[in-house]
Amino acid sequence: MPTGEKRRVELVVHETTSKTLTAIGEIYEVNTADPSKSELDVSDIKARLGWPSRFVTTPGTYQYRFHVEKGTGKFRVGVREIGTTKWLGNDEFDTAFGFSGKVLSFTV
Amino acid sequence: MVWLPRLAVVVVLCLAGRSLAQESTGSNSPGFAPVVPSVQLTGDTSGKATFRASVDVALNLNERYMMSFLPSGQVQATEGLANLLTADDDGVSTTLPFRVGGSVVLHDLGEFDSGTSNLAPPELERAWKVSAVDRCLQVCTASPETKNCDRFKAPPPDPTAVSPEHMCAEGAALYVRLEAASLEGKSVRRDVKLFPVPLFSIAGLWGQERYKFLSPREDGLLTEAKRTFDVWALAAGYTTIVGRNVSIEALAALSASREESEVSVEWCVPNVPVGGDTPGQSFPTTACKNGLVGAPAFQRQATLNLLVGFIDPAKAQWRFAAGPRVTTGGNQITLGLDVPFYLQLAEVLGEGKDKVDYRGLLRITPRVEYELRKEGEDERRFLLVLELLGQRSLFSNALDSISNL
Repeated sequence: MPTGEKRRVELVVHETTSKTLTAIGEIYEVNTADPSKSELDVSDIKARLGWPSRFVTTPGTYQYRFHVEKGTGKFRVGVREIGTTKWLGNDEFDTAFGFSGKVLSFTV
Repeated sequence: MVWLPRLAVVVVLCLAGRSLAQESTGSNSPGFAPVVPSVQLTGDTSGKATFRASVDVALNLNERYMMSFLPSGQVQATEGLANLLTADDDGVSTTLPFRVGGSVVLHDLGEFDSGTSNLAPPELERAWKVSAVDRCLQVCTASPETKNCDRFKAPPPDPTAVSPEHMCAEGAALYVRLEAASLEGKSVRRDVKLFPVPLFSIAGLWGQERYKFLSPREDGLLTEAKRTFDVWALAAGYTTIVGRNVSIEALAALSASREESEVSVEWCVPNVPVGGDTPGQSFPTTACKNGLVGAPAFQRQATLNLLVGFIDPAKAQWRFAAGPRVTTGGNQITLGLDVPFYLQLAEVLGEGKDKVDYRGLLRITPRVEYELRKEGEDERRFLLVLELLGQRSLFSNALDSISNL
């Protein structure tokens, strides 16, 4: 766990027509020296449209590795500091590429 | 012509039966959902009975919405279920009206659940990623200009960190195939809503009724007349589910029918005398007949019905709803309260997104009505409607609201 000021961030599912599509997964901290050795940072991060998941973390590079339940189609997942609008990471996903193995990279 | 309605019902039933046989063998044309019969047998405490049969031909518009086309035929009797299959023309009007019509229904099939409990363990998911990334490395070495190949100039340090969305097309397709193969046969992609919801529906019904009545002729005297009139109805319905278990249904219907005259007369003509007990004794007799004076009046009715209900949260095997019904037309306004309760008796559940569920249902609808008349006394009624239904959804469509035309 890197040292530094703790940040309150939220993970948001947006730009989807589905009210039920749910992203479920974990936050991994990326070891920048050896990216193959990522470490689990926060588990059980679950979010759907209008229901973000909030957690506390420290500055660093992270990945949200997740799968999709209860919905299909295109959607976006983004991470931002609570109370701000600037995305720390924001990407488009689509269940046409499968329901599992999704990865969102973001930097706090 | 009495055989015609019966023949039509038999033809509809045969077509429906054949369609169900196709469903059971699993045949399915691309774009089309399995064809199923839709049947309804209704009886109520006023003695009215209706049997309706439709062939439900459904087209999958996409994985969420399905359009159903239901050409329908129905027979109805006013004196009980037993009279449904008999026809009699000795009364004031024909007692076996036959109707044809149909409805178009846009179904919301709901969304499909990936079923997390059946997803592959992380090590298997990692193996798929490694295979897919390897495929991209091969493709990108051969064609560096391919989309997303900028990520595959060198092997990524951690293949699990690559989303399928960020792979080359061939790698992503391989990943999707491997995932789909692992899910196959596990029946995980179940409909989140558990049943198709008839989001929008429109329906129409047409038929003819034959009336006998007394009509004035040129010399001013009444004479017996027979005439056939068209009757029709149009309806539209909207259903939505709020949250997971609360249903809201709105139905509107417009109908044009005939209402018999309330003025009746009796006339008698001399008949053959009846002999007495002693020879030569006789008594004069008359034969009397009844008739309604004047042609049945044209009557237009409009009905609005709003229902709010609750659906079984576990398996959607029952639901109930309640709401007001307002009917206006002619010389009266009828205010009513419907409380339909649906109980699933049997079901055939599809397994994939191309399969469609089919349900056998019992619907019991207590109905309280208060009829406000412009002329005469108001009337209160209690009606219990019992129905056996075979259809795709736990919900009915707009045709239901006009089936007692």
